[in-house]
Amino acid sequence: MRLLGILIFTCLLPFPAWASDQFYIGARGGIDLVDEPKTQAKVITHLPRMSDVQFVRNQRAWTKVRAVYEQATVEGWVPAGAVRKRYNAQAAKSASTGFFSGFSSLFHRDETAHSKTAVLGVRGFENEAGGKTTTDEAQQAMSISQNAAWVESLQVSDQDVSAFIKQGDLNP
Amino acid sequence: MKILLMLAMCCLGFSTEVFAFGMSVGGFGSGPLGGNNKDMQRARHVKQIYQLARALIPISDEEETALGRGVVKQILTRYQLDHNPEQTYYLNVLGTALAQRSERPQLQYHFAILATDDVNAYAAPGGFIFVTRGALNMVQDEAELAAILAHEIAHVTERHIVKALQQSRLMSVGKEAVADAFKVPDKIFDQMTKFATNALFKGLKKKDEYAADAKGIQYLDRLGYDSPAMYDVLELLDERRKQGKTKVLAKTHPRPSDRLKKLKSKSEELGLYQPTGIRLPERFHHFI
Repeated sequence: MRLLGILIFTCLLPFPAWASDQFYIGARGGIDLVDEPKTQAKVITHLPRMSDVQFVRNQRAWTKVRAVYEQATVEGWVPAGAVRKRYNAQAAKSASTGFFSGFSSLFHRDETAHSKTAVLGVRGFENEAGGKTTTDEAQQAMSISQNAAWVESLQVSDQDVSAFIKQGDLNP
Repeated sequence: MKILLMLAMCCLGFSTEVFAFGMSVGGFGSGPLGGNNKDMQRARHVKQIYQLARALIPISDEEETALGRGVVKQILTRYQLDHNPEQTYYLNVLGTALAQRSERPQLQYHFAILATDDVNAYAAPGGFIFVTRGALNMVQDEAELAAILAHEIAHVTERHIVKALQQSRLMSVGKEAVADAFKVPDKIFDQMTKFATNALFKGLKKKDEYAADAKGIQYLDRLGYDSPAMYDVLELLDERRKQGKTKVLAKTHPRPSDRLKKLKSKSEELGLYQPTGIRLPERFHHFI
């Protein structure tokens, strides 16, 4: 009974480290899960982009993860930058104040609506197509000069910078 | 002659390095060397003076910004922009906070994302800074992203491209021609833009990259970020380099391992290793 208790405890021990956060593979084209934190290590499987993984630990530039492969759970290593944490909107909303909560609203906007809220603080966004797409049609249609003008329009106010510093507990 | 040259250089605001050179120039014509060696030395000195004279042509902040605008257009012929509003905002507010701690806070900085998986970042003169999507995907927290931006801001504050331009042959057209080129962009302006763009894409001097690392870590420190984040970024870059994922960066920058070695030694010298623990991964993942 005692042994069973220890066993259950051991199994659950690393759980809180990743249970509350959800992680996924963010690398474009996915990434190979390898058996050692080395470039030349043996490939266990290929993890497609956006596939869910469980974070185990970091070791320098590598992250150990658990993933489901052929209906079994496998453990292996991926380059640290390939793992992304899913943004926990609810947690951020409850934990954030001021500036940060202002930004939470950016992420909870109506997806069908034009991203007017996303223009907060950055001049020039009003005329652009918003949203998450990286190379949308609107962008391609813009000439280099227009794009250059857009870059030059990217400015933030001192108030935004101050709020950002305060929210991050950085040096004022 | 010696005193006159020293005085002239003082008035023109030369660095101590150049000033020291001025003193050595003052000595030419004397010494144990004779005949051809003497002539060669004299010729070398004349060449150096000529180079210094070219460096005298000043480039103001406004002119630098105009040059930067030209370089931005060149960058945009090679890369597409990623217009993601939230992430661009984040980059601008973070970058501006860092730039306000730099030696050139008066410049208007602009930060944008390039839609490419290459891991790289570019700093055009005047404060136009670009970070690739690949670089954003590589870093894991705000302090590491700040490290990349701080390195690029340092290229601007140290005027690395502008200094390279000032020392180039292009400046031999003379002060007035250069000033005119900035007023009404002409062939000379195009050549200067081309020169600056080449410097950006072909790479700056190794010493400039090391200097940008050293300055960058200071900016991180001033703002309160965990300054070892700069080390972590270089380690990540080294990993990527070994995986063959930083081909462009590898051509234009010294090896990350060499940069790390230099930076660690410089940090120790200046007492810059400040592990404050402020990495802000949550805020980073909120935006990126």
